[in-house]
Amino acid sequence: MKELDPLIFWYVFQEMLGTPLLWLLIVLIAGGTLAFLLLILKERTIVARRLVCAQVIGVLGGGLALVLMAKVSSSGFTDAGGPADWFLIALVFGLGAVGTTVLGYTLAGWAGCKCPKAKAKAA
Amino acid sequence: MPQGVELIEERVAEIDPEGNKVVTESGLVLPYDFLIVATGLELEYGLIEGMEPGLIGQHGIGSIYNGPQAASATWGLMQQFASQGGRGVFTRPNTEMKCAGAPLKYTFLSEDRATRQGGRSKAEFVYFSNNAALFSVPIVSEKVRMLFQERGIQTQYNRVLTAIDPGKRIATFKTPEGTEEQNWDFIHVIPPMRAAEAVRNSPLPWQSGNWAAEGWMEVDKGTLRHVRYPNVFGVGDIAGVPKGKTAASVKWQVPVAVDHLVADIQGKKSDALYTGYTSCPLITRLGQAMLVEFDYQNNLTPSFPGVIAPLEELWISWVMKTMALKPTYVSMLRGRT
Repeated sequence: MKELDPLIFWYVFQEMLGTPLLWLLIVLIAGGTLAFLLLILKERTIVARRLVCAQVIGVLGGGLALVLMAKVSSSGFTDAGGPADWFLIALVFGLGAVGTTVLGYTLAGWAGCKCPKAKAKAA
Repeated sequence: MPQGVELIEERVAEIDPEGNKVVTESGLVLPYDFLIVATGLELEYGLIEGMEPGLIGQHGIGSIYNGPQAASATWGLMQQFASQGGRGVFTRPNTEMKCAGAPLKYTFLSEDRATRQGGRSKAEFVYFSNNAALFSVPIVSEKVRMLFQERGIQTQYNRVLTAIDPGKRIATFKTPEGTEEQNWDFIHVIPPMRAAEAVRNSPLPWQSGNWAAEGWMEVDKGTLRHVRYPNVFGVGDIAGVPKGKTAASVKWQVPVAVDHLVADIQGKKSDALYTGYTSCPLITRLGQAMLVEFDYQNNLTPSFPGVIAPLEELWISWVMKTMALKPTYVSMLRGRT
């Protein structure tokens, strides 16, 4: 490759996903992040109970991300060769876990759920 | 199509660089100030006695090059072979070819399939190289030699497929000592390849040397500009340069040629240079590949140094090949990358 121009990533993802799906993903990610930040702003704190619940879902999300990755790249689960592969696996899992955690926390927050024990404490 | 570009959907019949014109099949004469030739190459199955594309999928004859149906039919035969076993013969033509890694990739994949499907112990794999090496880059050839040895794939050197007998399943190879016959249960035939006919029939090919018979264009290997006709450029498979009949090469060649062309129009000089960059994601098994990249000097030129090692069998290279390459090249065809 001659040079790695950031714009290349945009065009390649556009070709891979199609323009509508790409924009939808961007809107979802941007919207989700905004909703998360607004929630933090509104509550002025991170609700620990809710975060822990969200993290459990996050682990599942990370696993799901790996399954999705295997599916779209026609891979099995014994294909990891060297360190670069473990890095990619960790990255995919990490992104899936973080994304799902944030999503779970945000949805739970806006739905008014503080988790049972915390609700009882506040009452 | 970009604005201002006229698409004429006709085959070129004649290229006349002396008269600065091109004639299509219907007789349409197109004079030019500059010409970019990107005709690609032709598969010449007919140059193997007894072989023709219609045989692909029968008598254990496979050949992935002839298009999607041929590749699919070849896959079917390969699956059978992977389960039932037998003698697998894998070849490489004695001409320049597009993707010189593909003959090796198919051998690796077939061996991997046989291992997964349980037919490996009943199968014999023999790779017949047309010359004394497995790949034009020595360090890669050695790596492949080691992998073949590890996987129990036998190698025979200096063997060129000249004829096949589909009924008897006997392949005839030309060797330095004469000819020899090899029987097959599954054979992967790769056709000899030549420049497109219109180019071969024009004054554009190399007039002497290795490439004269195959008809590749006589271009400067650094600028892709024709050596005898300075207003003509050749890019892609048609270019007679020492490396590079791959999409990755074209991706680099095109901006270089265009830069020189534009400089000509502006009356300036360009110093854009193509150093022979070629990329071959060498699949070694389902789910793994080696991202092999090199230049005219046979130096390895990795795109992701320190992260993706060139001679390492990695999943990440497989992921790039299955997910990212085709979108990247389609995007290149749209002029975006």
